[in-house]
Amino acid sequence: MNKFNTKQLLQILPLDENLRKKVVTNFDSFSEDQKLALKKLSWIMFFELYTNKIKEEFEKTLYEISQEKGDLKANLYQEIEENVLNKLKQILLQKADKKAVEKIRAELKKQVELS
Amino acid sequence: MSNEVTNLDRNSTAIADRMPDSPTPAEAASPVLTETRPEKEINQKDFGLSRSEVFNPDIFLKDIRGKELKDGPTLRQAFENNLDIVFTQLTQYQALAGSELSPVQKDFIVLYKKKGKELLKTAQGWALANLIIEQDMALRFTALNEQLKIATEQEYTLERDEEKHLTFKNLQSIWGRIGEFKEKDIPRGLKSLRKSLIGKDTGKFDWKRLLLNSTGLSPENQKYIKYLSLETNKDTEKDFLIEAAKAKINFYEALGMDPNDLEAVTPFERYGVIPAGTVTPTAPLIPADWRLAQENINTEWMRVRNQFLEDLATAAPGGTLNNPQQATELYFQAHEKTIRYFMDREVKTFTEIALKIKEGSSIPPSISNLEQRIKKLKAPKGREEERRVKANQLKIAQSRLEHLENEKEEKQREIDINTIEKDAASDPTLPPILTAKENRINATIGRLKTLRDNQNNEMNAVETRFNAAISAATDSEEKTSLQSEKATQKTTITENIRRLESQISENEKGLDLVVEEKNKVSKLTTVINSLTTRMGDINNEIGNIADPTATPPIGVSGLRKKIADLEEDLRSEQPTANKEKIRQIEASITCLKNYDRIVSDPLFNEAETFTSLKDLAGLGNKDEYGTNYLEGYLRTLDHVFKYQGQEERNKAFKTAEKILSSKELAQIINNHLNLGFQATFGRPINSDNDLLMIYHTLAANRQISQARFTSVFIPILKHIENKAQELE
Repeated sequence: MNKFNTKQLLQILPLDENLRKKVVTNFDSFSEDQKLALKKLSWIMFFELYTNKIKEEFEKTLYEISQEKGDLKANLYQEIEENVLNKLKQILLQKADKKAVEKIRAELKKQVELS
Repeated sequence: MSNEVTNLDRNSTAIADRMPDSPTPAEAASPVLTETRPEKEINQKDFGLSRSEVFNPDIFLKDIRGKELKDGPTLRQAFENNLDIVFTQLTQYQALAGSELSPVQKDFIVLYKKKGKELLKTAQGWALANLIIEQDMALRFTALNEQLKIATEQEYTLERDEEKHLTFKNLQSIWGRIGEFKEKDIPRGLKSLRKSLIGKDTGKFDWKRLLLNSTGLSPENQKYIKYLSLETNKDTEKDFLIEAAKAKINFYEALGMDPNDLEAVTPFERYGVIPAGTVTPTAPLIPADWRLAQENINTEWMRVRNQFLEDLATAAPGGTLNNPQQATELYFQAHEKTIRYFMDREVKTFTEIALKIKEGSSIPPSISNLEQRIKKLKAPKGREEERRVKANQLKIAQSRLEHLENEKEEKQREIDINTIEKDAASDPTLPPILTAKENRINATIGRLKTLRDNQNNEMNAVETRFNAAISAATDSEEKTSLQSEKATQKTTITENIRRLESQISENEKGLDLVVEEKNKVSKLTTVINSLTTRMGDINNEIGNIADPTATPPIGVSGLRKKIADLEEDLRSEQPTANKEKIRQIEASITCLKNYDRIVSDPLFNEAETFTSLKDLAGLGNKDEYGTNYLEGYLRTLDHVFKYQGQEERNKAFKTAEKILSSKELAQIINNHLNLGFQATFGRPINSDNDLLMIYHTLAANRQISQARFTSVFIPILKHIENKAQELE
């Protein structure tokens, strides 16, 4: 069971790095309105990113087919959609894992320093 | 186009989240990201493209072989010049008596006066400029054609049928290459057209071969075309069109597109790959994913225009774009709608909104607004004030009622006191009897007076007669006898007169009594009438206080009930009408706070939710809850409002149903996924049961992916938010 939230989405969206860091760091202290604005924007951007990734993959695949490097399947578009979503899911999971590891590391460091 | 978010205007969804300029106190208190806003460069992504290279408009225009034309203008300067020309032409035309511009043209004049060259500082502005110039080019082409028709009406002949059907869409494709390309550079399918337009390799335009049907355009556009065809110099027009076409082709190149891309209908064609199955490019009801796959020039404006075109084609009689006349008309309408779309959203981009969030300065106060509304609806202060006012009104009403009741009793008493007179006065025979009596007495008095006057005359006659006889008498005895007789007769007459006078006096006294009686009856009648009228008024007044609309008035008992109801309302904590509103707003806030769960769960945890497309088939046929509602609908409400168990569902269903009705859900899914309900069923969605049809359509349309289906929760949440904000 995977739970994804805006903070995780913000990690993968095409944002300016400084903006991403600041928004993610301060997210929990934002007002409900600010959080909602970010949630809306992030999910819209996510679906935009998803659509654009599909188009990119689609173009790439068609080029390869034109170069005789693959077959044109009837469900090509649907297959690409599914693959792109799985890739995005994986990236999200990796980011989530990385974040969790960082958190544990920071906690351990704190404990070591205290002892 | 619907207000709901469609797959083609995702970019603008964020844009549509209009934000106030100044922060609320809550925002000001929140952590603010204060990074200075950098000078923003435009990226290809800002145009809705998937590529992220920088868009550089400050390059010199290139010729067809890619050589920079360093003597000429840069791309930005070329666009600025062309915009100036369009603006000048439109304003000159507008100044003419009888001229009439389309609303879009008028608004462009206002916008350009305000922003001028600033328009080209954003991707949205560039897109808008490109669309405006395209529109003006189309009108000028058509105007030139009108000139041609006027000049060569008799000589003009066509060699190929297809050229008769040169549409606005065809024109869009060829603008990029008129006068610029050699024959070998022209993609297949356009060679014959090019031949007819451009004389072989010379790059010279042959106007005689151009035909564009303008009859499908709006009356304003036709008027403008007429002006252009009659009042402007065709060489100047031709130069402008060539320059505009040059700038346009360089614009597309700066966006990373090969001009040949403009010709290919689909990416399949561009790569020379034949797609599996047959899909007609002009069919308006292409499944959404296929349409996405077919988009060739994948800029935001192309997506928006395609969507408008599809909507128009769907709504058009026959629902097809195959008729060239209709196609021209619809393309032009779609183009104008796209201009309007970009005018409304000019300078709003993702990046800008992201920056606003970073600055924390213009966040829409959605949740706090809703919480504020609840507070207001519950506000003890406001409620106390409302109670005080209502209690006062109640007190006044009660006092008024008491006063009226007293007055009513008093008047009733007065009427009762005068009962006898009232009865007499109410006897309709009395006034005529009195009058007859009066008349009779008057007649008697008259008769008596006549008798009295007769006696007075008789008295005089006796005096005269006896005096003459006495004078004529010769002896004293006769004289004495006559005098005695005279005295006797006079005494009798005097007695008669006295009796008559007495009778007259008696009758006159009787007459006075009758007159007095008559006056009394008349006065009493007036008083009783007035009292009765006032009683009626009092009764009405009491009734009106109780219910001014009731017919007949509901009276004192009704007023007493009303007062009891008001007292009950004053005792309760919230006005009854507010309770449901508060429930709805609270449910909406909960949804908005759970935004992540609502969108993310069906996307990433398909197995846990109902939203799997695999489950869609047959959804509408199940009705395990024993209601008339569809299972899918109930599951949507379960997911969005997160009920815990059947009991909670039953309790909250009424509220949830008001926030997101089955019909509204059907509408949102239809709009968001472009299911074309109207075209399929020949009518708009107009009942709750239409959701069933939507599910059947979805079940049959496997090309819609799970992710795209899930994205429908974004417009659902937007709908819930809007509805709560607009709740009266």
